[in-house]
Amino acid sequence: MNLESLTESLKHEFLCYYHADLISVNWQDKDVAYTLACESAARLVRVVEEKEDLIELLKILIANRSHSLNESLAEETDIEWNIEDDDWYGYKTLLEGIIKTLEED
Amino acid sequence: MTEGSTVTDCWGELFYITPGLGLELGFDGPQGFPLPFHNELSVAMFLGTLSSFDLSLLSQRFSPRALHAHKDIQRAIIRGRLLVFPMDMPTALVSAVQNNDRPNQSASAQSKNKAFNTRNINTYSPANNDLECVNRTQEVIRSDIRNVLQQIVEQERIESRKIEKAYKNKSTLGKTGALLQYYRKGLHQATESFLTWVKDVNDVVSINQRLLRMHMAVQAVSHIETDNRYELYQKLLNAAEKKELVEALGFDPSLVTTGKVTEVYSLAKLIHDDHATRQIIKHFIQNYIDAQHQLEWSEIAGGATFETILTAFFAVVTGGIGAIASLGAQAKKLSQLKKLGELLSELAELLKKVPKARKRTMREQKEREDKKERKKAPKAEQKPEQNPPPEKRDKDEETENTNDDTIQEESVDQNKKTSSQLTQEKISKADQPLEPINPNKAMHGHGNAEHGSQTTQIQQERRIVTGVKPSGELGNPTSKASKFLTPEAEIEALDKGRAKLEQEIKDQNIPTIINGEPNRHAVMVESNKREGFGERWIRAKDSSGKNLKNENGSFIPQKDPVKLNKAKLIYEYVPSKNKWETVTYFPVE
Repeated sequence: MNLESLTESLKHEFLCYYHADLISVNWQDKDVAYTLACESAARLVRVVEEKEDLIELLKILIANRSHSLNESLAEETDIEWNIEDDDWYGYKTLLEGIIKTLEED
Repeated sequence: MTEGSTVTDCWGELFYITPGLGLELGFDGPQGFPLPFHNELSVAMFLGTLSSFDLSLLSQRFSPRALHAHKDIQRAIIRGRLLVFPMDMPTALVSAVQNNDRPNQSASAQSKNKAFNTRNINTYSPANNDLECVNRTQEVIRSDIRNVLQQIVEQERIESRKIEKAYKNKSTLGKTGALLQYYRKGLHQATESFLTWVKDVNDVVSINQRLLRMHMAVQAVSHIETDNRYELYQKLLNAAEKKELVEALGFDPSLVTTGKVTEVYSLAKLIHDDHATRQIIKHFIQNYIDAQHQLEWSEIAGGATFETILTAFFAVVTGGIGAIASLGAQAKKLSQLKKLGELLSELAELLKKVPKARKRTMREQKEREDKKERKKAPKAEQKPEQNPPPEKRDKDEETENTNDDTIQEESVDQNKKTSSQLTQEKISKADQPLEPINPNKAMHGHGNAEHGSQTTQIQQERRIVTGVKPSGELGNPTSKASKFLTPEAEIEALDKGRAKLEQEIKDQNIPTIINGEPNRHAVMVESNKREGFGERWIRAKDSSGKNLKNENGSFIPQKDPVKLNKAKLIYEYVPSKNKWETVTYFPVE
């Protein structure tokens, strides 16, 4: 799967489920975040050809806060994950949860 | 009409109308309190139950200008010149009323009421066309539904007033004002409330809706997969889920079979899909909340419409057994609920017979109206039989009923919907209930509520600063907050979004449910208009891109000059409707 379609899948996922309009106020709660991450993993695994590619990309995003895709995802969701520290830690937890679920699957 | 002797039927009660003596509301007259009308709508609703005969008699006294009879009578009631007293039924009428809960329930029952039911004097003659007969009957039933609901609200208001009056008597003993709330609350708790049960049901209905969704999901899967897991799943559904549901509702499980649940659901859905009835029930819930002054209801106000319908149906199907268990001493509420259920069943039967109209786009509707207008101009010289049947009927009525001009004008106006009314109507349907399994997800669409053109700059700015949404709900502080410029722009986005969604569903084979959870899909559309779809506010930033904050540490909102000529629409699949509804939608650049 090429990077472009992987990126598009992630952007679609974040727009549909993590937009500021849609995400619940308690999303940073551990259990809530875990459920969200599990659901995301289940959806994403259906649209990506190789889940390993996705895992790798997510790890890159966690490692590099200023990655352009982090900015794009912040644009999609109207949540400045890449700027505000609190949001960044929540976002990182979510991405880690997705990775964990994908790896366990 | 002899003064002080007119009796008419309204909200299932008999009323005594008398030209007022300037008595203030609350005066303990021989007939008890005059009926309190809290706003113009309730007066208009009351007047709507009077026959044209009664209205013309009242207009002779209260309306010097015959053309504005309705408004003049309305004003007379509001100013206390004309008082409406609820009264005990005259002995001669008691037997007739006892034999007839609602005047429209059957033809024979109607004839019993003939002496006092003002509707029977009405000169309206139903058209020969079957569909028109159906429409007429629907109107009557809806009006009765409105009346039953209004009755519930009025009772609640009267109870509230009694409570306050009783408290006032106690206040002489030195009670503080702050205690009123507790006093009122205590009494309300003691008497229970109609919505208490609905709210309880509302909580359970989420389980209930889950049942339906799972049921539908399983049924859908059964066409594709036929493994044992499905059978096991279905067994579990029928045994455990249904038991949980009916037990939580308070019904005897043996009384509610799967067939009954299915029947109740299909009827409730049929009614819920009927826009006019849904609006009536929505207004009822709002009025009920207003009457009670109980803020906690506001959280279910928007979402309880389906539950109210469902509850009424369950009350009928189970003979009210569940309701008795839950309502306790409030037997009166139960009878109203059952009455409502019966009326809804009656309406559902009629709705089943109505052929589904072909949906027209706004453009088609506009073209149709324009065509009608063009035809109207030279119509006078054309053959009269070219007129469509409803207009012919109006004309006939006009000749028969010459002193009822106002009513005639109103009905013609109602038939001629402007495109702005259609736009409003369409927008009012934009935010629909959703059926997620995950309780942390939105249970209702909110694109219009949070981004509609009715939202204000202050509301959008507040979203950026505090996270509080225009609807008042607490959300996450957002980096951008946008709104549509006009209702038309919103409709353009909705129409284009729907078309694009349908195309993508067709092309991309998008699943409706993933891992038991209704799926979502987003589309982006572009506006044809020069000004674009909307406008937005963003967080003010410094030169390094960091957010600026005020002395309280809050973000500072500022208007974004960028043109928003696109819109994003996020849809979610709704299993019970087998349809995708918007979760949210907003303008973007």
